[in-house]
Amino acid sequence: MIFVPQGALIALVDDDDIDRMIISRVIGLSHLDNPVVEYSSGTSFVNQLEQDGDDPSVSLVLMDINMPGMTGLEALEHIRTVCRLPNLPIVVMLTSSEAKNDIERAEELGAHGYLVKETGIELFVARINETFTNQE
Amino acid sequence: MTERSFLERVRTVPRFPIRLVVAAMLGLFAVSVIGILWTHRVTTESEVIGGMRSILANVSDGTVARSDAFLREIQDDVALTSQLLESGTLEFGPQLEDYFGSVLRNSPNASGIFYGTADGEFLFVNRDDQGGPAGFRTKTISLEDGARIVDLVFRDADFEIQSSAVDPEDTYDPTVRPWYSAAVAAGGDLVITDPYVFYTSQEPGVTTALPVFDLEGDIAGVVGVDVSLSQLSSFLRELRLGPSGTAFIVNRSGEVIALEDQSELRQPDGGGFRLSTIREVSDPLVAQSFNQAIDEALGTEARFFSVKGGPSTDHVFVVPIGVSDWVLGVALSESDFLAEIRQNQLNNTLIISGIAALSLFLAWLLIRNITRPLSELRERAAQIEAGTFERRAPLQTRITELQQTSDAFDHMVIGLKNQQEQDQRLLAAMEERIKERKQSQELKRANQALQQFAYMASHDLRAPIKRMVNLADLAVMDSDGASRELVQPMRESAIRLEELVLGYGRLAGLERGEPQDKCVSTLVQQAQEQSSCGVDIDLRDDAVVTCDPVLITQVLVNLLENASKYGASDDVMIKTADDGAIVTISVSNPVEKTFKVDDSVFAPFRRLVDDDAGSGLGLAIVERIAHLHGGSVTAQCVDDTFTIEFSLAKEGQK
Repeated sequence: MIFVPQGALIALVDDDDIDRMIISRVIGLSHLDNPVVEYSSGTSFVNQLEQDGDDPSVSLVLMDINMPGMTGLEALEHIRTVCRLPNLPIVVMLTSSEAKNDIERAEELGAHGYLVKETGIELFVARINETFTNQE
Repeated sequence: MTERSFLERVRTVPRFPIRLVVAAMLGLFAVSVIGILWTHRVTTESEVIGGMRSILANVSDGTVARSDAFLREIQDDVALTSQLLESGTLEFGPQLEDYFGSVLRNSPNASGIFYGTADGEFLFVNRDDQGGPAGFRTKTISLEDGARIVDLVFRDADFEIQSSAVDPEDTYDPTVRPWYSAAVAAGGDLVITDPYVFYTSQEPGVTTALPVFDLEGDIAGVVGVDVSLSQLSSFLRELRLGPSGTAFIVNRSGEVIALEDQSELRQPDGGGFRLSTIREVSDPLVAQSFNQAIDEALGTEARFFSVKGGPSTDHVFVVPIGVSDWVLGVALSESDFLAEIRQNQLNNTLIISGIAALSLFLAWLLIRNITRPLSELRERAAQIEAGTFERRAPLQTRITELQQTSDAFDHMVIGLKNQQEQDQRLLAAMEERIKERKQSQELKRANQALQQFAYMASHDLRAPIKRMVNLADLAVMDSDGASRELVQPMRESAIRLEELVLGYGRLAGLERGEPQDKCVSTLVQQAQEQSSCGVDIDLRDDAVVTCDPVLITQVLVNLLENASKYGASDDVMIKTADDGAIVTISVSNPVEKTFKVDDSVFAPFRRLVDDDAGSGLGLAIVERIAHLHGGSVTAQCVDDTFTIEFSLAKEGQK
């Protein structure tokens, strides 16, 4: 279980408008009580994080791996190395499949976990609830 | 090179050209033949000369024995006569004359016999032909009362008186004759005078004399026998000494006692004759040979001389005749004995020279017949070593072994050539196999890439399906289940679709169909028809490719759609090139701006621009299909033109 402080900002980075809409709705349907801020590309999120400096405005980042331009893994690497944020925010990679290479690479780069985009809202909500909690 | 240096290293044995070997053999042959000829000649000549000397010695022995016997017979006559006179059995007078006649008739060598007394009386009977063909003449000087009477009686062969005469003019005194004084001086020993020309016969001869003693031991007279030397010359004539050989008897004064040619025994002297000296003899062998040797020869033991005179060497044997101071000389000319042998040797030398010349010619022919084919073979071997298998007419030679060697060499060349061809075939087969293995490895890599691609593609295809399902769920939620009946089937269809995609993704990549020969232009036309984009195609050149036309058409569709999507215009240029092994097709289209391109554009799901609505699979599919056809694909962007170039192997694609 990944602890997410209550009320802390969750960043959702995905190039697909529909996926962003679905995941926002799933988070709303889950136990999590956190506001969600959406970014349509890795570049735009990294830019925001650089503006935040040492005190990132977000606690949890849900980052799609496969994005045009800067990919999710590239953005993760950027956060951990260029922005020098080794632990925070918590980064969980979003993926459509359990592609083994991507998951291993993400862990190497400093991701806390991964979340498969499930088929079916009910299943997706249950997965969120299994993965995250606001309770310490 | 290692083989060569090895060969060079083992060349430590001295080697000689065959010319030298044959020349050495011929030289040895010539030296041997010359040596044999020379040895034979020397041996033969020394044997002949030895034989000659043996003949000389034998002849001399015989002659000396005869000469001794000749003289001894006379001596016996003289000694007997002397004894008869001393004993008184014979007395001066007719009785003594009869006795003398019988002696002459019994001793053919005696030409005359006489008795001279110390008182000056003299009785002499000698052979004479005035009384008949072979008669006798008697000269008697008697003293009667101090008066001196000289009677001459001529008799016939039976000693019968034919005529008689008195010679009152005669002044002959026996006591002053040389034989008388010599006999007196000898004091009882037999005397043989030096030769001289007889007073009566004018023939050369000698006188054998012995004194006759009276009872008081004083010399009563001297009895003597005249011996004509012509008899000795007859002996010498009977000797057979060859055409040039000769024999002679001389005394120590150099006066000739006997000679084959009796006419030369005497020389005219005043009104009469005297004896010839050895230097006056005309026979060249006697004159030349003996003249040089006579001085030291006389008075010595029997000995041989070799006298080089004129063209030939003469061999001379001189031996003293025991009963006198005479010397017998026998001479033979080498040329008599050696002429034929030398002629034979000359003939042999000429024949051998001819054989040697013929041998030289044959050797030259042999060397020529050996060295020419050998150098030809060497040249061919050098060509083969250099890698040239030039077809040449077989060598023709008269030497059996060389012909066999040459034939074996030709067979070896044919074998090498066949081997080389076989090697080339093997090499080609091996290259083919390596190529196949390489292609097999490439195929394996391609399959792996394809499997990866299919796996990823299936997963990415699932993303929109998931969205559809989730959106359906949300739609049902938002409409309070009002639209459930419509949305639920759609949701189930989407799930079914996801299952299908997953299933296809599990299939390992694309499969190529049966290869067909197709013109690039045909494939381009099909692609243009299948794609929905309306590009203007400029097709440059054409080529036939052996390919799966469905896949290649797919490649062209992808590239045309890319060009239409990302190009600055609808203009597309397609060029083909055929180098015999590979056909290259390049598709170019203008772009807004030149950008950097590398091979990562062919990675699946790699999109070049942020707002790309494409799948990111088009170029990956292109690369995959190119690999399936044993080819490759490259991308470049130069001068505002983006070009994808893919190549297809003409044969052997898998």
